[in-house]
Amino acid sequence: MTHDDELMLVERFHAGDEQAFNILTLRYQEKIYWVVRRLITDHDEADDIVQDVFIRAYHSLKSFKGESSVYTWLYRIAVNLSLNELRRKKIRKTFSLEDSSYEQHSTDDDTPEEAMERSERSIMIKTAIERLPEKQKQVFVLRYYEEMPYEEIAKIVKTSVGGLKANYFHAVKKIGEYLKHEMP
Amino acid sequence: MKCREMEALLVELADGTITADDRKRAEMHVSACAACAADAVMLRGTFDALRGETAVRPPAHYFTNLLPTIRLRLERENRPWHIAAPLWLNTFLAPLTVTVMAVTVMGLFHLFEPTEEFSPLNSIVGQVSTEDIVALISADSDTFDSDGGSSGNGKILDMLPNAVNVAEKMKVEYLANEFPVQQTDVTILNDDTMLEEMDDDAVSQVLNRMNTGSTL
Repeated sequence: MTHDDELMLVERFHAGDEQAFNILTLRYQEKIYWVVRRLITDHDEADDIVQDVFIRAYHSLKSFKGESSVYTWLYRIAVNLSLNELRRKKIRKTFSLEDSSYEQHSTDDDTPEEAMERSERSIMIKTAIERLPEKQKQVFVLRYYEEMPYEEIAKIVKTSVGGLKANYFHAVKKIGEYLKHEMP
Repeated sequence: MKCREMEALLVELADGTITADDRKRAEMHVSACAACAADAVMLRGTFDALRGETAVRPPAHYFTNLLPTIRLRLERENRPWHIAAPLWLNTFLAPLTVTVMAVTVMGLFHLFEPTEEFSPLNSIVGQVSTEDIVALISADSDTFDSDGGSSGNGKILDMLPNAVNVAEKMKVEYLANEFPVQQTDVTILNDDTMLEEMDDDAVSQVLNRMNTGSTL
């Protein structure tokens, strides 16, 4: 979907076409889910935030001026809501790192032992990402999982490209150090 | 090139997104810098581990159901508050509303209900029938003979002693309660001769004044 296509949908929505919002939601729901899920890790919490992202977008779309792409705009909302949730969680000191179920990490071809090992490794990676400072986590998720160009990330997190590259480097390095320390 | 400036290139070198020119620069630096070489190995190992990570899947049909769920929430937001309220709240509100309405209606009824003191006739209800009073008030002149007893059926004359009795009781009641009853009215109703000389309208007016406690 091009920027012009997005703007056309936004204009349709401004004119009262609810279907335009549905199209935008269907277009981006999966991408937004994964960004939030990587940052939040728990599916149920991520689900709540994803719904909040689109509901907030619905109410704010009327004032959307098209200065950035809808995609970038949605990402910014998603990242901000996710970080707010992480801060709340940190305040409550209720980080739960053991919320991944065995089934979630297994694949159909895995033996029970392989599945267990894979699950443990995934939990460790997730833990390593969770331990990152907020900014580094944000940049890592958008860059590594979403494969987003630095220029695009810069618009979302409002940091220079040079600063983002440094953040990304340190994020990957910290994850590596954690895995080296924790993995047998 | 300083090590700090190499950071971005080392990441790109490790994840394979580096350009050919930058690769040459990075490899040249790494070959001469032990710290950056160690970082490069660490970063490559990290990306290898990350690639082995299994995607944490959401539940089946999650993405199919997401838009309808969002739509439902938007629809609920637009409903009036009493409809959008949770079921438990509505369950509580419905009987409460009915109770409040019932109490209000009963209170208003009680507020405007005429008291016995306000209506003199109520004080003697049971001693004279409503039909008698209505008949007395609505009797036409033909029925109400001037000679006091030669009417077609003599019903009104039969009723007069009862009416006088009513008036006497009213008088006692009023005086006891210091009602501003016109003594003239009581006198009229006590005087058969005066009563016989009055037309229907006059009698009605007297009874009406007695009933409402108004004065002449």
